[in-house]
Amino acid sequence: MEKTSKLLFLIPLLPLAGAFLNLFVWRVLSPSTGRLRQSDKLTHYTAILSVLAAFVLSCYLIGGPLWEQFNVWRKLGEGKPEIMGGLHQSVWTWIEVGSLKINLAFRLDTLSAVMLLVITGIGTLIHIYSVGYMHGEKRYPAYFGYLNLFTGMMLILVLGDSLPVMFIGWEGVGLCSYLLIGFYFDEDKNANAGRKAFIANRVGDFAFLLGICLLFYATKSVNFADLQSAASISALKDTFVGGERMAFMIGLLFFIGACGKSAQIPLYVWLPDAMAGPTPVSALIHAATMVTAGVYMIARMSFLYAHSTTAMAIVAGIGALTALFAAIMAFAQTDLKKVLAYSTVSQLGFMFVGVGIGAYTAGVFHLITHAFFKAGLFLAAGSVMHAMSGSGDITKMGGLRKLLPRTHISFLVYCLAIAGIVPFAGFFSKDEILAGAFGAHAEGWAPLYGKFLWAVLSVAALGTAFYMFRLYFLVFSGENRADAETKSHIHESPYSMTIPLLILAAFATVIGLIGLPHLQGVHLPTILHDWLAPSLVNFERPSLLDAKGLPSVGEGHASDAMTLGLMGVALVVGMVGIAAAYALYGRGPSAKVAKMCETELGGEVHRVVYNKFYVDELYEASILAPFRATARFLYEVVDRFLIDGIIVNGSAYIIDVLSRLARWFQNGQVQRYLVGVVIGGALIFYFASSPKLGFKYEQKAGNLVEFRPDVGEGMDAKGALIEFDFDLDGEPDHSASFVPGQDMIVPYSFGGEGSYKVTMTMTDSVFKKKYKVTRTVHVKGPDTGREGGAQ
Amino acid sequence: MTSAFYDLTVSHFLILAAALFMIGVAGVLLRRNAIIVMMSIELMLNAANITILAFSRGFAGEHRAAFQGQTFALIVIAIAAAEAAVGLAIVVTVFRSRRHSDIDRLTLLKN
Repeated sequence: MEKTSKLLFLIPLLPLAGAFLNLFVWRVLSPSTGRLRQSDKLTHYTAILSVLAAFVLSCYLIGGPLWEQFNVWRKLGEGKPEIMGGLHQSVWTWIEVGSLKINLAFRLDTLSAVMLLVITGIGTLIHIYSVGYMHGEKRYPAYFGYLNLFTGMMLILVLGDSLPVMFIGWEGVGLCSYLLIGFYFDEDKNANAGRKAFIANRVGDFAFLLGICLLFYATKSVNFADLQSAASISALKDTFVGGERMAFMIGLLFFIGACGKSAQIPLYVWLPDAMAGPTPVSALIHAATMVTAGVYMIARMSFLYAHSTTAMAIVAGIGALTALFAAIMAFAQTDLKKVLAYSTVSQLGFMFVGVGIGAYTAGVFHLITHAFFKAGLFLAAGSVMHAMSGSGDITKMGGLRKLLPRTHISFLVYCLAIAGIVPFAGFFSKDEILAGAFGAHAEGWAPLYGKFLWAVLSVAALGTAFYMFRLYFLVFSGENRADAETKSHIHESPYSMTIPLLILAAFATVIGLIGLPHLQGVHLPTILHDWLAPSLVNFERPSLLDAKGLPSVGEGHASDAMTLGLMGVALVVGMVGIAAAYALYGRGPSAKVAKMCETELGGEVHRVVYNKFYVDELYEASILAPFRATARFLYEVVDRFLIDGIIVNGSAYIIDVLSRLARWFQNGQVQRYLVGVVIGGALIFYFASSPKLGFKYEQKAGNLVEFRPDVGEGMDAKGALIEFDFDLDGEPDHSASFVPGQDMIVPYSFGGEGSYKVTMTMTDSVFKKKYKVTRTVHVKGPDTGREGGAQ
Repeated sequence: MTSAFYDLTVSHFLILAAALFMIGVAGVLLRRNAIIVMMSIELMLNAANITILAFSRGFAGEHRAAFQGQTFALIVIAIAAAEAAVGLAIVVTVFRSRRHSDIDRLTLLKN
């Protein structure tokens, strides 16, 4: 049952309209003086109100029609997923070619509803925060325009009813990400970071596009409703490509796309560099929304991944490795935002493990909680940097607890949330992924693969708690290590910045309650699970599974002891991480760490971690260097030598030589022209007067052969003497004068069958010049008459 | 008319005309003095006249009395005279202004 909503298209349209106003109207109107002016107010009110309106509209649609539908679905039973079709709106037909019909259509179901609230809700807060943070920026309207454009594109991404529509948003957010990372493009470093992000994303986008094409090839449909039909599912499940299901190939391509957008190994390298953009951008795009698009997409395609346990294993494996390595890389970073960037990469890894093991709800749950605490962390980092005169170097901070009270308290909440301390949000979501991984097993997986994922993630969680609290202690406790000049300027940020921080902190505290753990003894409300159930393939609900005929993943419900035990482990892991951070960094940078780095092994480890495992250098050597060499080759050899040298200048050179030749003739001297006339005239006479001499012959009855002389068009032929010598004795056997216009036929009887040499001689009447031609004549037996002819 | 004259065939006249024409061509192509060039043109015209007359005489057949070739030759002579008059006038004018009549150096219209 799909309900049509006429308002759905307004949700992405509102921010896009804001972007239009900001980019094309206010930007043109406002001269760049760098002071808050009337048009700046216009700019940020337009931006904030358009996103806020989208948020309000989302709340209305979700709280009204969608909620109603959800209640009906709950009452009628879970075995009927078709009841919960969500809201739907088709705006117009976008592409129609043969059997491919793509509508620009939007779809609001429980999954996109969650994303919608995150994007517009957190988006609104970040827009408000930006007013304070970007105060005095020269390109103020451009900034808000891009931010609005991003929000609109992100909304198209999550609301798209078909993959191509989703792809519009997918590309759009990539573009906005590029524009905003490179926002301070006066510095090469920032512009390059934007390019790096764009190119890394492009690799993923290409795979995503290929995935869409392959999916269409396999199922002949691209919209989510049709893709879940029995026929499509069977095409995905029962077609095999190289030993794996079609679903695996497509799933893998989509996952590469997700790797690009969501910064997973090996395409994560762009995200740490993306910190070159303004901090609110890092919060909105590179923490809360865009980078989670990959997770959302895989959750959205859960029906596809459910049919390939291999693809799921890859998603989970890559996610776990990313979570671990990014966490380790975060240890040695000294830039506030860089630590957060690696943390984001790591947390995204957690989410991918969640969706990879089939615990889609857990993945999406972590996406939501992460959106709150990571956006908050970035905003708090922005507030700190704002206070520290724009520097993000944590070795120069410390002791900010008293100076920035509101920022401090919210930062602490976020840190507790991400470290997984009960009852903050991250605890529940991370624990759900960990518990899911611990119990995960699917057909075809190596034994204990789930346990392996759990172990890797637990280490990563330990690392998370450690590097987050390292950051916290270095920034907020101990002595302030900044220079006097900076110190004198330290101040708490304006309310437009701190209020969003506090709101996010409040959410980061309580949002975890929407996904309380499943216990068999006590029934706790599991709001998110119930809400997402109709939109996801849910391995925890066998009734739904059976309806769709899916392979079984997971070992069913774990016992309460197990669930609580795992929660305890997760909590202990978090605590240990915090304790370790306190021991080493509790009072600012400690001598212990410095001493450890001085030992041979410690120094080596520190160097490798500090240099991020030399992954950038690896890319440099394996891809960039050959690429540059190829580019150089193409430039030096193909372009400069072949194209410029040979084709362009070479052709000019040939024309030059030829025209020198032509110039010699055309020098203005009549006499030289006359040379041409004379030579030409002479040639005409020469050719016209050379006879094309020859004869034809035709065998008649018996051995009688008729000869026809052919004297050509030359004027000499008139009155010429034609002589034939048939027997090679040098004496003419027949002679006659040629009269133009009359057929001359010379008959001759040969002695018998065989080949004879015949010579014809022509003597012109004026100069008595002789022309001679000799041919071999074949005379056949009586039964085979034959014609011949030659010059 | 001696009998020797009657021994001459069309070919002899044509050879004479060709020789004369080639002398004219050589003069036009090789000499630089405008007056010599014009004289050479006269030679070529007269070579053409000889050809016309030779064919007229040699191939006239029963219309020998028609004198078509001779008539044509007279026209050519008239045109040649007109051309020489105009040409010489130009050469004289050029010589007056330039003090030479070297056609290689008469390049005012070039470039």
